[in-house]
Amino acid sequence: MSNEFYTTSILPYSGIIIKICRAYSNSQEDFEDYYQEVCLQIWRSRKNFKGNSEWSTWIYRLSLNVCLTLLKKDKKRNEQYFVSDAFPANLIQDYQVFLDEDLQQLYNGIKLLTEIDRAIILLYLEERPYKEIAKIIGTNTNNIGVKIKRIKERLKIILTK
Amino acid sequence: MEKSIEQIWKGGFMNNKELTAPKINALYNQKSINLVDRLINNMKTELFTVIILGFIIALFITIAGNHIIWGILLLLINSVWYIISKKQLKDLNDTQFNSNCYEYLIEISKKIKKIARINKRNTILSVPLTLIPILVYTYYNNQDKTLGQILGIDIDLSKSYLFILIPIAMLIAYGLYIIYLKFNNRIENKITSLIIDMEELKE
Repeated sequence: MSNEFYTTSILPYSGIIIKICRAYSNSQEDFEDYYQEVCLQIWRSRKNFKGNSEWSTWIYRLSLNVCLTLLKKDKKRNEQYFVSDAFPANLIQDYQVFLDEDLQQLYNGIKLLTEIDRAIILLYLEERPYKEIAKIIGTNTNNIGVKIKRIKERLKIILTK
Repeated sequence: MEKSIEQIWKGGFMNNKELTAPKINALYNQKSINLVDRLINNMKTELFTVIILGFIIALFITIAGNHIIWGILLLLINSVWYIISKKQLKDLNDTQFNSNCYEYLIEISKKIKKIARINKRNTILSVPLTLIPILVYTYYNNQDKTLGQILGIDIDLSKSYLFILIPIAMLIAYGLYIIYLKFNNRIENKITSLIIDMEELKE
């Protein structure tokens, strides 16, 4: 991957990638692996970007796909630790990465959601339009509104516990 | 918590420190090491399986066939396989990483190809080494019988045709080894694609 490509096409969007990778990884080491893999996939798939959507939307979609694939692989490897889609709560407590305590708590809560719910809420918090979220997730726009409402309610319960 | 999740999200990421990108220079190092570890572990399992199977077959021939010499012969060939495979494993394990995973993988890939070449040759060679003593023994102990009588099938041929079994078995062994290579090359393929990736990244 050329430095130029990384600097001009990935680095300006590294924030998005970091936010997504943080939500799907459970250690600094995992996070770095996920981040690297996403960057690599962006570089590998760059020719597939047809310009039908914004570059950032494309990066969102690709980052989510890569993270979900890596998570699946990790789950297979650590089946004894993962019984549901979400991270076990006791593992999350040890992974403190954000200086902002509220943000850390919010991330811990997000990690307790299912994989798809995590993707939806991340896109919502990044202020992506419902239509775009629906397109990325592969559902219809009406469902997204209902889903977000439910996820927010769940998050509220998790965060007030 | 009084703030909404939207406020927490926005406020939390105001601090740019939360969004510092990790360095991606060591991209393939851990991946390479993991792949080679998996390759070595697979080879160890295969080696163990071959040895156990060889031992069981030798034991079966000795007890059920009442041919202790054949059993010993198989065990000998098995032991040679074991010694060669152990050496190959040691050679792979001794490959130095030296912080450059591209060169490391190239070196591993060369070694894998060499191992495959040697093992293919040994597989084919093992067939006559095993069969010749058995067939010679069978030939001289069945002086007045035909091939059909020896093999217990309805063929009226001279027992000299027994030795045709050698090239046939060698061909089968060769075919089986090729099939084995074709279906048991996942990690080798991954190593190759990793090398290609790295070559592309250098562009």
